[in-house]
Order: sequence, then structure tokens, then C-alpha cells
Amino acid sequence: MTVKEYNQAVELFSDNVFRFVLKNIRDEEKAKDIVQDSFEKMWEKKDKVEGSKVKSYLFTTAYRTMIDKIRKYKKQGNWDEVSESDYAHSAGHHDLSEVLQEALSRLPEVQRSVVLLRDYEGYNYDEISEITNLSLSQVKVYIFRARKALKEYLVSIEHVI
Amino acid sequence: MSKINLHNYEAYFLDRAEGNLTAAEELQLKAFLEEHPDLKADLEDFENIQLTKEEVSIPKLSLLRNEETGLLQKEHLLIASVEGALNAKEQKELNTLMEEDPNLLDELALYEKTKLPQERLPFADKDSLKKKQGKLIYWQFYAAAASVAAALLSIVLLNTPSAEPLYETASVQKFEQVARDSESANFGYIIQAEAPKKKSRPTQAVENSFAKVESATNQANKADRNQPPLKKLDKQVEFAELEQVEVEPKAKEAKPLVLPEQSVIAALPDDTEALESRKGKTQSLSLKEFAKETIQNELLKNKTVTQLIAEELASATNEKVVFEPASKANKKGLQFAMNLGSISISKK
Repeated sequence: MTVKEYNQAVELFSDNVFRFVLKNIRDEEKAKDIVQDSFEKMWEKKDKVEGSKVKSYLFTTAYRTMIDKIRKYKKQGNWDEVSESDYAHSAGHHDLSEVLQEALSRLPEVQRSVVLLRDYEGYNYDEISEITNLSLSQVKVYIFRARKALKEYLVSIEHVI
Repeated sequence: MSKINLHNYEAYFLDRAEGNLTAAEELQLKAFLEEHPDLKADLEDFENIQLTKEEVSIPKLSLLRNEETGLLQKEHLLIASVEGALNAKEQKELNTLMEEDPNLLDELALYEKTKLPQERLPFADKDSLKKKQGKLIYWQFYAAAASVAAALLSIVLLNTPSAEPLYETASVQKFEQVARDSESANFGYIIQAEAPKKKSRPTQAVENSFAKVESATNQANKADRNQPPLKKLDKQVEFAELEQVEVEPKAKEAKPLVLPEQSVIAALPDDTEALESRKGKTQSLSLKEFAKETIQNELLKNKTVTQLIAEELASATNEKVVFEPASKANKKGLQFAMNLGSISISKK
């Protein structure tokens, strides 16, 4: 990977990686740090990263870096769960998107990650399996359970409204 | 059981219908009905109660769980439909379920809503992630730039009037004299044996330099043209002398000139006759021609000076390096320009 290709990857994928991480950890500063770390790690391995695998490599690195950081912060007692409304632009649920974001924030980490990779990035089960280092079967189960949980949250909110 | 009366007779009736009364209780019941004949109809109603067996079944499919996801089969099929992961058999199964329970259509619509809508969250600090070319190898860049500057300066100086004294005729004459003194006038012949057949084209600046040296040397050779070649070759010819006269300053600065001494000597004819027999069949190279060839072969590796410098710089800095040919030349000197990434250097 040349400098030019690396810089192109920044242009093409940094937004996606940032969104993926931010939606997972809901902390903008930590999300930025993880994106920085991910790209730095890719630069260090630039000679081994093929052009067609850049996006996948970035998401894999970002996911693993994120998991490591969450574990580290939690161990240090330095991890505050932030609700969606803390970083969303408006409090309260005005539309389906906001309700879904709140529902998403309530999912277990691993379910949230696989759904984000599936819906935002359009990855198939094989690719998600590769990125998250989960088995194909685990990926499917987590996605199905996440959908069920999201749907149940939508139903519960409809009843409240 | 207590004695039958108006408060507990229904229990007697029920037990009688189920055949649970003792003989004594039967007698008590009979005596009670004779006292209250209006209750005989109630007893008959109890006796007429008949429970019939009824076949009741619930749809088992709605209770089954999917082996893969552990969800109810109905849920699994609906989510698989949203995910686009239904196979033909499952699609058929889902269609059947929906025909039986139209409410599943609403549920399917809810699952469709669980797909996250696209949302843009731009990463604002992209520039901090980008790598600027050459930034990581400052020392290499400066080292390469210094080498280029020195080389280019040398080229320019060689083509200015101030550089001409380096190639004065007197100096060349002195060398020629030394060569004859050491009985190595066939030096040119010997060198020619190792001279490359293929010549690369040097830069204009280099050609100018060599042309001047050649001109000076030709003048010096005129006076000695009639002198006979030496009969004996002195293998102790000092190549250092060649360097003193012929090697361009830039070549010395770049790296020590390595001459093919062993191969040259190996190619020497062993006796005078052989030497004489080969004489006249070959074309001798002058000393400056030899220097020129050697520089091109050993130092430049058959590339032009600018090509070599550009390649070295590109390799060291990871930048695209472009040399522009001298746009104008005049009597006083030459002009050169170099683009190194975003840096442009030019000098007259």
C-alpha cells in the first residue's frame, strides 16, 4: 500500500469506521482515538494489506481495538455507559430512527456490532464472521436475536405512545 | 359424610352420579327424596351429565423452536425473511403460516423496521490521519537532496568558464608524458578491450564537460601523434593518475570510482607480437572517453545522471521526482530545474 492508497482509504472509510465505533461505544472522543489507532495500525502493516482488503482490515482492526479499549476502561472503572440521548442531537424519540438508536444502545455489545456491520456496511455473514472473529453460526444467531430485541422494543414504545 | 339435609344434598347427588355412595348413604338419600320429591328432578339432571371426549389440537409449528437460532420457528422465519436468508423450504413454510395467521404480516412489517436506516456521521479530523509524502524519512530526504544539490552544482560548474582550468591542455599533456615514461602508451588500446559496446546517452551537461576535455586532449595528442607505441606494457599503470585527470569532480564526490583493474590486466596480450597483431584492428579510447564510459557503466549504470538522481531520490523519499531539461543555455552557463514533490529547485 502506497501513501496515496493509504490516504485514499482515509477519505473513503474513515467516516464509516468512525460511525461504527461511535454507535458502539457512544463516546465521541474515545471513538476518535480508536479510529486514529486503527489507521495507525494499518499504516504499520501497509506492506501486507492488499488494496481490496483495506476496508475489511480497517473494520477488523477497529472492532478489536474497540473491544480491547472497552475491556481496559471497564477494568479501570473508567467506562461510563452513555445513553443515546447523551450524544444525540435531540432528546426524546421523535421518529423511528431515534427509537431504533435507543433500542440499539440497549443491545449487548456483540449484537450491536454485528447489526451495525450488517445494516450500515452491508457486510454478509461471512465477512462479519471474519471481522469479529465469531463463527458463522454465532453471527447469525446474534443478528436474529438482535432483530427480535429491536422489534420488541419498537412494540413496547408503540404501546407507551 | 354428615347426614343428608337441604344444605348438603347436592354432594350426595354428585357422589351418587359418580357411584361413590355407600349402601347406608343410599338409604339416607332415598328417605330424603321421599321427604322432598321436588328434588328428584335435580338428581336426574346430575345423572344425565355425560362428558364426551373431544379432539383438541393447537398448531405445533407455533411452539417449535428453530434449531439454529433457538427462536420460535415463526420468529425465525420472519427474521430470515427480513434478512433475505430464507431458503425455498422455509419460504414455503412462512407462506403457509401467513395464510393461517394474517397477523403475521404486521409482525413482518415490524421486523422490517428493525433495519437501521443509513446515517452519516463524518469523521472531521481526516487530515490528522493522512500521511504526507516523505514526512517519515526526513534524514533520507535531506541526505538525498544534499547529494543531488552537490551533483547538480558540479554539473553547472563544469559548464561555466570558471571550470575550464580543470581541463587545461597542460594537465593532459602532463599525464600523457607520464604514461609514455612508464611505457604504457597502449593504455588506450588495453582499455578499449574492456570498453562497453553499447553506449548510453549522457546528459547535455556531461557531454559538454567531456567535449571540453576531449578537445584539450586532442590538442595535446597532436604533438605526440608520430611517436611509436611502446613495445612493452607496464602493468603498473597507475589508475589513480587516470582519476586525477579524467574523472569528473561529481563522480569523485558521489562515490569512489572502481575501475575494472583485474579484468583489464587479464585482457592484456602476453607478448609484443600479439600486441602488434591487434594493433590497428581496434579503435583506441582516449582517457576521457574511458572515464566517460567508466562513469556511465560503473557509476551511472548506463543511465543518465538525471535518471540516476531521480531514481535515487524517488526511492529515498517516496516522492515522484522530475527533472526538467535545461530550458536555456547560453555562453555563461546552464540552467537546471528540479521538481521534488511540491518543492521546485532551479539554478542558473
